[in-house]
Amino acid sequence: MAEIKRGVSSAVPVNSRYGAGGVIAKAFRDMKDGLAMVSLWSFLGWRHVARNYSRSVLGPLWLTLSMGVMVLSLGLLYSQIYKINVAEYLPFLAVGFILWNLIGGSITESCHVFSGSGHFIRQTNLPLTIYSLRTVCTQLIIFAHNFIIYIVVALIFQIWPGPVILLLLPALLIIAINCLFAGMILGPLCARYRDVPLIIASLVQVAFFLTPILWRADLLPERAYFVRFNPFYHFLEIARAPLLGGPIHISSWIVCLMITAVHGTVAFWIFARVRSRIAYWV
Amino acid sequence: MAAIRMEHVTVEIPIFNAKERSLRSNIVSAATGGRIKSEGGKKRNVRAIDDLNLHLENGTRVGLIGHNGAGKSTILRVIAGIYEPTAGTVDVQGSVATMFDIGFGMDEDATGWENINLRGRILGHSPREIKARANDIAEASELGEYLDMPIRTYSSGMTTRLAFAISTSIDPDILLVDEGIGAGDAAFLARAKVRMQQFVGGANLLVVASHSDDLLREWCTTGIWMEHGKMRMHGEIEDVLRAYHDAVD
Repeated sequence: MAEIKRGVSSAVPVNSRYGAGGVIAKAFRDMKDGLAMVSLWSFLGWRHVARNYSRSVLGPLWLTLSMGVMVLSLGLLYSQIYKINVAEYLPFLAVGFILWNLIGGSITESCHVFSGSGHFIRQTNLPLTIYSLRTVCTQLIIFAHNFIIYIVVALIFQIWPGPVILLLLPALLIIAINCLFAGMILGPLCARYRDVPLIIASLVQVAFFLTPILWRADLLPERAYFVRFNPFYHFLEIARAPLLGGPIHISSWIVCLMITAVHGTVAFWIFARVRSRIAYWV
Repeated sequence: MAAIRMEHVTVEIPIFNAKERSLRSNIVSAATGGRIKSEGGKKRNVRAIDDLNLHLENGTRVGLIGHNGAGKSTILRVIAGIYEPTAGTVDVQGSVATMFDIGFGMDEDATGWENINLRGRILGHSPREIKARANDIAEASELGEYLDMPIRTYSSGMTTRLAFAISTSIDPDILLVDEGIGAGDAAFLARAKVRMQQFVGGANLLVVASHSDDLLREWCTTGIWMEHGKMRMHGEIEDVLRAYHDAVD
């Protein structure tokens, strides 16, 4: 196995793609050094959002506006179809949409973590974890914009969940960590196989309809298992309950923590194995 | 002290065709017992560097000479820590700066000042270092009030000047340069040459890949002739250039 040692650098990035030790030690160092460069990846994450909208007045709020219109129209329409009170259905739908945008968006964007930054990866020796963290950061910034919809809806429908809203922070942390892990798996996979992003995008689309976002889980009590075996339901639920003031399901938190642990182990294992090949694939 | 030691370094770069890039075809070929795969040919690797041993000590100024695809850029990328070799060991002592793609890390829609910050950050500077150097960079770029405008409004020469000014504002131990620097008007090129010479002269160890004999003669004292990923000759720059041209012409 190739072994590369590095001197300490001052003016230029500390080279953390390399160093003595096996693939595990190198992957661990990559993650550690990448995490330490907070100002760089948060800066890149912000630039990624800002770049697409730098020439429009509303900027990223265009996304928020279009989602707001969709939530409003779907909320009015489906509350009629399901014959549920709008005041009950629309906040549920709004929160579901905002959170799904974060969760589903994290998965689809995780596909482009490395292939979308190929130019950077071939030009600099920054830790590869930087690119995964940049994606997490971008997703959280977009979520923060969409959160305005929740605030507006909460004001209109007089929703105040109380102190339970503080649980949103750990819930978002769990989602963000899983976004990082998804990037460590899907990033290399999609860099190697260019048809995977298309497969993932269709799967995310299917997951959207199978997850209680447009419909409420209690509408199908007979088939509760169908919802309970859907991991996305639990990730949605741990963040949705604090926002709507709904009952806190300890079981959902436990499921999410267990999934995070397994997800993290698999992600680290894959990342450690393929990390050195990513520069050749992008 | 800067030093580069490469022992038995081999780099194999995978070459994928459209079918190998597809997960679906890979699954199909596995499921059909490799029948389809055998039609498409087996997995191909290009051996970009083949069992290279190279020791470069402090004070070395070396030029890499050879055809396109001889492995020059790959060597630079291995030293820079971008490509991990398939086999062998690499030991690099000292801070490394690269000048591969002059336009790298520039954002079209950001202003000149924002690009100084962005590119400086990607090159690994802290916000404080960039603040300290920003005025020096602005002066070297000679862009004046244009720095307040998005760089998509710049001519290509202006963009190059800015990128060049940012890249040369650092002070590395080891400098890796791939090919020459880009366009610019004559007056700028003359000044750029001075700045480049200071930059190149400031590095303790220089590795340049170029097709320009004049540039190599000017910057380098020794040369390495690469052919098909192997080192064919390593010696005085004049001797290597002469031997290379005798063989090629």
